[in-house]
Amino acid sequence: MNLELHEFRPEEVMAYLDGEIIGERALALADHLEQCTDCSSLADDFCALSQQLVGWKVESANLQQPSMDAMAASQDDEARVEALAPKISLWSLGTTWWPFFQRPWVWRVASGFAVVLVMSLVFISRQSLLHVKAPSSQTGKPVVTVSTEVAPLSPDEPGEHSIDNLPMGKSTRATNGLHIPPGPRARANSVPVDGADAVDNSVNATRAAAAEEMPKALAEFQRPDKLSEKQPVKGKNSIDFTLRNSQMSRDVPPSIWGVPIPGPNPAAPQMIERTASLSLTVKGLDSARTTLEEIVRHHYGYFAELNTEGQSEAGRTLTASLRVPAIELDATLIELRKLGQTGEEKQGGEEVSPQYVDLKARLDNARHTEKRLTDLLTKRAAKLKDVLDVERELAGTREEIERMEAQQRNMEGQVFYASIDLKLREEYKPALNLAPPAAGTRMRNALVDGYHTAVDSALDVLLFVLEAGPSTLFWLLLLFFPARWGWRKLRVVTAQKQSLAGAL
Amino acid sequence: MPQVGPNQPIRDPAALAAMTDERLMLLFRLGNSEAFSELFRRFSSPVYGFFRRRLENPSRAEELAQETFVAVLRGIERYEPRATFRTYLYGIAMRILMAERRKSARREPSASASSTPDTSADSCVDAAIWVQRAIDQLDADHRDILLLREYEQLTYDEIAALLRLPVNTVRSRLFRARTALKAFLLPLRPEVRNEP
Repeated sequence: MNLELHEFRPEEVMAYLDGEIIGERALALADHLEQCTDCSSLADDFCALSQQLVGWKVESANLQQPSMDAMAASQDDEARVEALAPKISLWSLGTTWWPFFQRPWVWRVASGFAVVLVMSLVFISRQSLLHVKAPSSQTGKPVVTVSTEVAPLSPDEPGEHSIDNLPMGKSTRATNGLHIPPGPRARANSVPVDGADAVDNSVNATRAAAAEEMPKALAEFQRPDKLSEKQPVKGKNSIDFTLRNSQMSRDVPPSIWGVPIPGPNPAAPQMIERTASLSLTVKGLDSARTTLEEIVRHHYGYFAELNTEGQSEAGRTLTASLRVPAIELDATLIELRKLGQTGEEKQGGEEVSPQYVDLKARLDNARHTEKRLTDLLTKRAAKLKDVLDVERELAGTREEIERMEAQQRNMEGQVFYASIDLKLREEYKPALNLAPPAAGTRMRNALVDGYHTAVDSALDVLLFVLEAGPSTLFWLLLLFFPARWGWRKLRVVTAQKQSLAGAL
Repeated sequence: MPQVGPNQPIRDPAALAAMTDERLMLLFRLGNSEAFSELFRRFSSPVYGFFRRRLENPSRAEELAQETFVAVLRGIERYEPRATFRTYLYGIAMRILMAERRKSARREPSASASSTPDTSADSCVDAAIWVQRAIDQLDADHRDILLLREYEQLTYDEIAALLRLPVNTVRSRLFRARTALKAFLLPLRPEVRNEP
């Protein structure tokens, strides 16, 4: 069969007989089969072959229709079918899905979804873990975010909040991994920490920040009236300070962990300024200093002063003055003792309760006086002279009130913060030089030393001459003539005695 | 086509017989067991013939046919009418057949040689034996395509989907298989061989 002479290939004839060619092509092929004997013969052969194949018949099957109950009975076959069925399903349907996955836009959309999913996960994880914001772009100062939430102290005090952290230093509790989820009424306080002069190891910065923020914080602390209702604090380092927004009076004492700290409340008479000094010998000063800074951060303290000294023939020393909340003093000392071997330790406490009560009483009186003077000024002072007198008296009273308030704040701060004078001394470890210097090096060093010695001695003589020469010359000139006259006089006398003796 | 609810039991054989295979599968998926009975009635013999023409052991062919329908039952929850039911069904049967062949090859390496009919008994064998012998001489790829077309009556597209081959490849292989089979049958059949 010459294919070049036929319009249709033999495969198409076969496909036409199988019903795979339809439409005009099928009509054309049917016309061709009527005209072309070769193609018609080929078609007859295919039909005859199919007739022959039909002759292979199989016996009828005696299959039982499977049911779910029968499946449960045949456990052995189930395992095989279970493993087989999904593969068959996927395999048989794979050709349908494969063109779908070959389309580029499918992969683009899938990639986009994957990127969005990954970014969402990263964003969510960052939001859940991040508590400290980046430094403020406007001021360039680090900004510490302090999470606050409603303190469940007493339901009849809606203005109370529980502060998770004190804005007294550069560090926050968030850096220590503490996480407190914000409540429904949570708010965030952004406290800028002054780091402009944090040259001497953040001492000045923390001191300035604490000096700025501590009085405010102290003024906002309120002692809870119902300590029994205080919620248990999770974690050792969680400090809950009760904040009353509606009452900003300085007469309210602070509280930590529900424990009243010494304050101006007359109901809490004990106000003790606690101090401690500790001297330690540490092996490595650098590591000890790092740990020390961590301890101070850990206990909400700050460095009032920090100095380091180093000598070549002795170990380095670190002297620091720490300020930590009084309630944290014991825990801080315990951790400080772990820095090294304790050499000397002192603790002291000075009770300032009488002074504080006295100061408070004088302050109250001054305020009453101020109020009375104000009333006089507004109601009864009619003459100008009286008005001026009252104004003068009122100004003096207000000055006295401000001075006493400053003393009160200073006293509260001294009570609230305990002082620790810490001295760390590093163990001196002289360097052991096992290899002696070479002979050439020693000779060269000796030559250099000799040269320096010669130059130094000549220079010393010259300096001596220059220094003592003028005075020596002055005295020589001054004493030369008397000495010569006396010498000559002595020679004359001696000569007369010898001549007299010769004459006798 | 009669409108039948998915969960409504169908007792009318004519209504079931008028439905397509795919609709019956969907009805069965929705809980209509009569639909599966109709499918089993339609395809039990073809599936058995599928295995019987490819295996020597009739009882084993019966078991595998039964297993094929069990697999359909097990996979009914995952069935989606993306392809024809015949493609789906013979796909399952093909997978079971391949697994059976692998197992038989491990168990009886020379089993295929022993299954060849004795050519010395040419006079007493019928046409089915001659056809079987001729088909056995085909290449495996050509044989599968030929059997799927001639006995399972699958279209070229269905065969291509089943064997994951292009349609043109299926057509060319089928043509070569038929040409070769015709050549094999001519010298084997007595009436053909005795022709002048």
